[in-house]
Amino acid sequence: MKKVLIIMFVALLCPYLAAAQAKQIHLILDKYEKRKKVESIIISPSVLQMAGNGNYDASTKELLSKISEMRIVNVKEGAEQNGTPLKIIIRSDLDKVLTGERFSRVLKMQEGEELLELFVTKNEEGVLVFLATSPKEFAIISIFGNIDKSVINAVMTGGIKVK
Amino acid sequence: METIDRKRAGDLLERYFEAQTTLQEEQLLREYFSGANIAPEHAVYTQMFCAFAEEREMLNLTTRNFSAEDKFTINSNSKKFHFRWMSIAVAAALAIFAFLMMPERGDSLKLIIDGVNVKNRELALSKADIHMEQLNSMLGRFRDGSTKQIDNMNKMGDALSSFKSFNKILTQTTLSDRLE
Repeated sequence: MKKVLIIMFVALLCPYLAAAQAKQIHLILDKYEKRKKVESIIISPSVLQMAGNGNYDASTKELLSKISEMRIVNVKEGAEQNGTPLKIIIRSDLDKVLTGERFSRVLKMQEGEELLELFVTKNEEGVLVFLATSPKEFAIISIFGNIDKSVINAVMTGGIKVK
Repeated sequence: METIDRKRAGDLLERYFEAQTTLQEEQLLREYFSGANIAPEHAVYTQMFCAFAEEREMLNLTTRNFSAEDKFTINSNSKKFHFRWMSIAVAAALAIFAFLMMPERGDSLKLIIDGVNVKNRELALSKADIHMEQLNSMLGRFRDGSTKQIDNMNKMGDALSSFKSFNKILTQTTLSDRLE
């Protein structure tokens, strides 16, 4: 009986241990989402759809089933904390996680004053994070779930949209 | 407890087999056979008088005073019983914990603006759509840029290919001159 309990406990804990990086991103977003001049949107996969795919076919279903949640946090110009722009504070918090061993930067694109970066967890069970920086706003678009090549490809090609 | 000697036990056994013993006399016989001083000639009857002793003990358990050993047995049974219920309770607690910790998987859409929870599905969808469009637009520019770069590289490759063929002709001419 004890063995069964231990196995059950480990089985329940495994997903949480694997998704530790995702949890760290969640914690940072949770910390700042209720500040002034900050917008936060949490979207479940049922609200997402594949671009140019009116039919909800098996491949779409399979792809969207890999996504557990999508979160967008948008920090507007003028959002501050103790005189420091909030976007700098959030970026600093995110850098502590994103520059670690468990994340890799897949994309960095600078166009004028706009900067777009994409970070992905090295293990599939994790998170994909877009950081879009512009003088007017700082947006964090994160997709949680089983982030494999198909999900990254769909996101990179603008394949995932909101219904 | 009254004890009987060998001779009295023999007399009582004879009366027992002739079905003439009273209940008290049968009790005396049972006590004699459950003791240690059983005559060798009476030993064959021990099983007969002690066969149901354990069952009788069990039936009398509720009515008599418990010994320390009995109490220990009852406690260990009760512990087993408690452990069984405790393990079920722990399993149930773990299941509830997992349920509470799991992220929402329903048709959920949550929008917070300036710390205020806005319950407006259309607005949330519209804002999410705007952000995704902006993202896709930036990614689109990146894709276009990459395609242009690849096109330029291809053009450069095409331009260099004529040099390559010229170089090939030159090499072949030099080789044929040497052979001659």
